[in-house]
Amino acid sequence: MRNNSDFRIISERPLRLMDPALTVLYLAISIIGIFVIRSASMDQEVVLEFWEEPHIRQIVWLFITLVPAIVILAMDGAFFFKMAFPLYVASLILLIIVMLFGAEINGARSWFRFGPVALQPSEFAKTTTSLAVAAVCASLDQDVPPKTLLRNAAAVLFLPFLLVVLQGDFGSALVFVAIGLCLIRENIPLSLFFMALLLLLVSLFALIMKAWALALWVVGFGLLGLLYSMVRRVPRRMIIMSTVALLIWSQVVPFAYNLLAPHQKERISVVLGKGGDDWNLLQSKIAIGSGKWTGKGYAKGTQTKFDFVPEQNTDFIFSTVGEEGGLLGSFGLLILFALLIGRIVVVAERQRSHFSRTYGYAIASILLFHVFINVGMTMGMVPVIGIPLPLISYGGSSFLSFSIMIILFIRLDMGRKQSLALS
Amino acid sequence: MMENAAHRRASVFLVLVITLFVLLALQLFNLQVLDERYHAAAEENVVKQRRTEPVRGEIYDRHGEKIAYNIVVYDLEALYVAMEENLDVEALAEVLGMPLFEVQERYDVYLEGINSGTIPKVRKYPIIRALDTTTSMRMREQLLDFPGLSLSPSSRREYVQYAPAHLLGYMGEINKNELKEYTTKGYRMGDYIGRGGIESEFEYALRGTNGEAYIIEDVYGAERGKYEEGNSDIQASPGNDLYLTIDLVLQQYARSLMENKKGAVVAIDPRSGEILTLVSTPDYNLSEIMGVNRGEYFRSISNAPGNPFLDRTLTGQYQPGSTFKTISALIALSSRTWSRNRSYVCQYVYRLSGQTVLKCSHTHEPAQNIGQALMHSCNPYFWEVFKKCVYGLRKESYAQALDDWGNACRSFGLDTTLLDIGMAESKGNVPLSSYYDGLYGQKRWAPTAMISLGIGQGELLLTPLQMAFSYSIVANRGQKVLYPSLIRQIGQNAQSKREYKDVLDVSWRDYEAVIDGMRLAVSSGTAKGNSIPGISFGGKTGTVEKWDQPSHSMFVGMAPLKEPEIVIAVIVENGGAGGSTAAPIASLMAEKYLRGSVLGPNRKALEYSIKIKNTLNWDEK
Ligand SMILES: [Zn+2]
Repeated sequence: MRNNSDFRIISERPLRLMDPALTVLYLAISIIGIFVIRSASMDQEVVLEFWEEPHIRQIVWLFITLVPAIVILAMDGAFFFKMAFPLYVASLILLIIVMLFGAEINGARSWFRFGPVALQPSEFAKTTTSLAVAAVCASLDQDVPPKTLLRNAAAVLFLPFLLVVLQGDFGSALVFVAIGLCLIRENIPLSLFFMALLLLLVSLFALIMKAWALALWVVGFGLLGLLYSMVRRVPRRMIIMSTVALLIWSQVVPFAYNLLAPHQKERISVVLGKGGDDWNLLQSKIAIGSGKWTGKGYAKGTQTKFDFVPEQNTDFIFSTVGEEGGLLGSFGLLILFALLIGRIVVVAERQRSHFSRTYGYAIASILLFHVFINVGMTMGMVPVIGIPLPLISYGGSSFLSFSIMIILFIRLDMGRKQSLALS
Repeated sequence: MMENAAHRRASVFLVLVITLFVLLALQLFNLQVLDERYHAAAEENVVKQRRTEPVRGEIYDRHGEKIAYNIVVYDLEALYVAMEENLDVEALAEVLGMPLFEVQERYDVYLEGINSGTIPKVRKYPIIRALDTTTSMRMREQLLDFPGLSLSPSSRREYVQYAPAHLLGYMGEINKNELKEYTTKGYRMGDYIGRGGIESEFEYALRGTNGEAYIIEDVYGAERGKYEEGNSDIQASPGNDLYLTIDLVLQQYARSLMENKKGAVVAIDPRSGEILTLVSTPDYNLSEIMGVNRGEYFRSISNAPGNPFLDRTLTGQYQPGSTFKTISALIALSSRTWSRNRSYVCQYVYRLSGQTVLKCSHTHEPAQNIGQALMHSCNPYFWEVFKKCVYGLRKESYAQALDDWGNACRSFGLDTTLLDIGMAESKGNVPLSSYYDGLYGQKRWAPTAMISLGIGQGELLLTPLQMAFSYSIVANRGQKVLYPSLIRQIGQNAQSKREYKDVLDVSWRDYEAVIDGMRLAVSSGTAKGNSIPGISFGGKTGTVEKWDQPSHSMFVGMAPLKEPEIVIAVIVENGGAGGSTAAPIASLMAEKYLRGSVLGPNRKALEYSIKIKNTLNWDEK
């Protein structure tokens, strides 16, 4: 199935072979990010040197990103398929090392510090895990039972998930679960996949949300499923039974949780980042709401200034977009993200190599999860899980890793075009 | 068929993407267009998070007496949008009782901040901090004349009279460089942090943790009430109180005796190593250095003679003079090169190779033993002791002998710092052979080079704390010695003591002989006239001659001699003979500490004469 001509070294005018839409979308979002960071970081009570201004640092990171970008673009596409597992294993080792020797920031031991620069291996593990999942899917024959594929892929996702949970960074760990969304495109029964994912999500959310709220969500999804079954031939009884099962499960989990000893509970709720964030959330909602149709104008937000909210330019950066850009600006940014993810799916679909296609789906899943959770969190739709808004949130480690993730896909796609040109 | 299935799966994924984005878009539309609650909140009455200040921990003495505490003061705040175009700075300066240029300067800095955008126009901002009660009351009556200005209560440190200024340090506004380091710890512009001393060393323990208050504000930043009646506020948690080992009564008494004198006093309880008193003069007034006219006061102190900012107790380094003879004697007795009952006939002049190198300061009966030698502070006797000790051991070389002697000195806590809390502290100096090698060349120096070490002069340097500590070892007869300490308790946590283990091996009888010498010095020797009726007091004088100014007066003493409860080291620069100024101060302090007050007309007269003694203006005499 794999076509080796997909992975040929690009000899001439490689930049021409880059998918223009993907490249432009990536750059546009990154540059918007710098402007938003500048506005969100304007705190009048903190004095910073020029080189310490967050947006200046982010610009520096944009230029630093050029180095891995050039290296990736110059490399043979086949390299990434061959190296998928070694890279994956290497990132697992890094995750273990950081747990032992890393610096502790905000209660999670997940950072390496090099002077002024801090890198988070879990960010880069997202890319290597995507490569590994893609390699798993690509290396299996078309006719292996779905169970085998599922088992192997789940194993690949579970290891980094576990390590990142152990680091105390539950939000980032969930991203590895989300990579599993790419398996929708693989040859496994959709129902099985949905069931597994739902069970997992329900257990997690059962610990974070109020039981009745979760029950509403479950019932809501059940109704959606019934609606779907009217269009497609899906056994209605199965949908009803799974909904009931999930409903019971969603009530059993918090009950079991309440049986735990207080100190165990405390540990779990710390891991889940529970409590104390209602204030941030209210402020964030007020900020976004006050943006109304057209927003207050760039750098003119009042709600996101003057306050001492530490995540103003990282996890809660979307509240600045909402306040200053209004519905217009927020929709604009969301549409850019939707186009980016959509374009990745479209480009993935045109790949001849199974590996490139699955990688595309994997990173589309990661971006989808990040955007939905982050933006949803600032609007109080989902629990506050501290993960960044891709390419927008301030932070070199996150920006660099998302850039590498996307540029790598652009490189894989270039191989396909070249083989077309040759044939 | 295959193509079809793949197509369906791709659609499922895209449908998922679209669904999630539509959900986000719906909620956005809801918040930004439909739900009026959030628009109103942001436009008129905005809930703001305000930091609430923790109450700084107070500093107490060993008996729980307050030394540093917090008082209510008022900050003069400006709200730009409510102010008139031109503030009448002249009138304001008059009301405040401050120099015009200083008020003008602060107003200019404020305007600069407004123009550059670093100070919000709609928020009250303190332009003059920490007005005392009388000034703020005067200001309050005139507030109507100054629209946009208001007073807001705040707190400031206040200190008892004669508080140990150098030990405590003071509070100052955080500066730009410090802010970079402290921002992550919850500090911000305008905050006060400890500068020097305890206030700085224990900044984090004293400060406490910021709280959060949620208040409703209008667009001008005026408070319109509490959000949810303050139920969601987070209380600031106050800082830890600090309990020092200092005895405030003794501290204040020692400081009163040191009035108009330059020098240092250190008192230690030898049983616990706890420092009871640290006086360094000249010093400065902590209340004034943080008062309204702090700028002016700071300048005047910086230019004052005698460097009032120098902490002589911990960082001053002095030649110990004759006070060192006690240590010198113990080293010789320990090395068995001298015995406590050895006599030596003083010739008043000590010659070496035909040259007069030492003189005895006064005529006296020949010393029959080491106690009598200490009593008369006989220089030739102790030079002989030192010579026998350093050269009598038939060491391979002078260098080896001197280094052994130097190490014995170190076992008395010299040439090292003693405290473990990071206060600025000098280590003093005990020269080794390498020092003289550097000075004269290897093996090119003779014993005459170090002749003065034996009587506490030359390159030997001690801090007053080291003087007191070395005598604490003597007071304890070398048993159960604890390092000097300054902190008893932080919050609820008692601080542990460190044991001092490098004590020199000296016999009990030798200790008694030396201590008896100190008793004799006070009863009938160089410190005669300073005995305390009913309390056995002893010590050793020192008179360090200066070629261009009056001698430094020194004394280290202890009481009661049998089981000393206090060791006191006193240095009065240019105070004359050790027995004339330093010894009376130590004697009076010992009585004050052990008895609670100074009794009897003779002692009262001594106290009075010391209090009025001025050793600063010797130039004019
Ligand atoms: Zn003599």
